[in-house]
Amino acid sequence: MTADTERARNYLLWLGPLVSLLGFVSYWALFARWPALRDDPWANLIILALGVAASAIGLRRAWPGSAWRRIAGSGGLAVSCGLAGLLLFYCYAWSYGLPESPGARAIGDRVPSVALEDQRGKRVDLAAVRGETVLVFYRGYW
Amino acid sequence: MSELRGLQLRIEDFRAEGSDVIAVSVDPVERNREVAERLGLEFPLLSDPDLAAIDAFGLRHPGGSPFSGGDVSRPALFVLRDGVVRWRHLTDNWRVRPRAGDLLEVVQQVAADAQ
Repeated sequence: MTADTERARNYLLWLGPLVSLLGFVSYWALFARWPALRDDPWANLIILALGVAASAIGLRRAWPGSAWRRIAGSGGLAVSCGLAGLLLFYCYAWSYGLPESPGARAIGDRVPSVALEDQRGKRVDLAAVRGETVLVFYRGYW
Repeated sequence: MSELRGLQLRIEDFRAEGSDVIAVSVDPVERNREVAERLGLEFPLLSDPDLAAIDAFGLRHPGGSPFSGGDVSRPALFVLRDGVVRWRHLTDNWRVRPRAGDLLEVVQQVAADAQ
């Protein structure tokens, strides 16, 4: 293999981890906005799979070649696999970290009287709300 | 946040069923004003920094904020009608919430059961 073709082929060494990083960050930056791609992160897992595959092919093509390319290729593959593992861990293990809430209000319970201020400064007492209401408790924007 | 935005997208459908939407979090009033403006939310975002409503509903998640480590509400949804809880959903994964379309069906069912 000539030096030129080696250089031309080895773009996978950096492209692989870059694609993986894109596949990782874009879950929060983009895809989590759509429930179909948020509940199960299909789009991100596909991008991460491409990143891992590109990193693996890049590493294989580092032979024969300079030692630093092999080290860079190994590091790139480790980064790609690590990011894929982190996303899977976040989605299917860490985000189940919620309390049981055994004392949560149940069907048939009366709505407790608590008055809170809305974004326009108006006070709203939950027990005084008439008619039908969807009440959403969310974690906030921090 | 996709959940609040998703509800806003269907707000006319909820109103057509005779239902309002109210959201509660620990965020301060100023933050809620920013968020409501940025996402174009027309329904009330109630500020509960002392976790008064969150505790009254039994939803406190100790240390649940990943950044500040403070206490927040666990994600939860209720359908209320005339001062009584008629339906609830406590997700076991904070990324996964019922979708607005599914909630509309619940709202219709609760209204039908009340007749």
